[in-house]
Amino acid sequence: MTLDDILQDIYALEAEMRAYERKYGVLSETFYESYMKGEEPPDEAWVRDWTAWASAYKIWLRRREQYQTTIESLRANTRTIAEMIAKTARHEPISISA
Amino acid sequence: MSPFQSLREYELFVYSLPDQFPRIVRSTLVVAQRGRYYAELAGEVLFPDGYRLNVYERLSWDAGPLTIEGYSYEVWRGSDDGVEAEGKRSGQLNGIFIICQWQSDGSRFISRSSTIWVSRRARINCISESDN
Repeated sequence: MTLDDILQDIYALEAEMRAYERKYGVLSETFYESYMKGEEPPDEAWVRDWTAWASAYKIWLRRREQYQTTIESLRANTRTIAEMIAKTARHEPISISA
Repeated sequence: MSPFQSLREYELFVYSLPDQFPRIVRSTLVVAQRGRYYAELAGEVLFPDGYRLNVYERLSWDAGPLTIEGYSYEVWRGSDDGVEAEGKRSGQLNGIFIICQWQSDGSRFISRSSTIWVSRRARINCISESDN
């Protein structure tokens, strides 16, 4: 898995989450708080959406964490952020940090 | 532990279900890769007497075996337009309920969780066995 893989997953997940946010009128973090409390959807027809939304958000959280860890690692090996970006802009595969 | 080491393995399993289990009348299950490292499984598995298993799964495989990040399974009998969903009154569905430990809110099975490690093969087996 590379930094580019992480970014592509983040973009795709965010597009999916935006669709649910527009449909249900709240940001994903608000919805996820409800989901994590075990609250059931008021409408049975929402079950499938809520499952998909929650799991998308869950993976998104993990990808963000993987992104942050990788960026921190890259920054530790470069003098400035601009120098780090010069490296990522080359779009060469950058393995994510464990 | 997930028995599937890759999305490809899981696809092969999902698409061969009707061949492995003759009691399945029809399957519309489709695995769709949505990102670099995640995918969805969605569709229905149809059984005799009008039973339908509606399936949704979100899958990921960060650095190894497939993980189910979230899922929804519903068992219905009849059409979408007003026929009651079958529930625990059915011995057949009781078999599924007991063996697979599904939750029930009455007539409809709804289950969700952040992680499960139940073999898909075992689950389908239990449906097949309770069918007999």
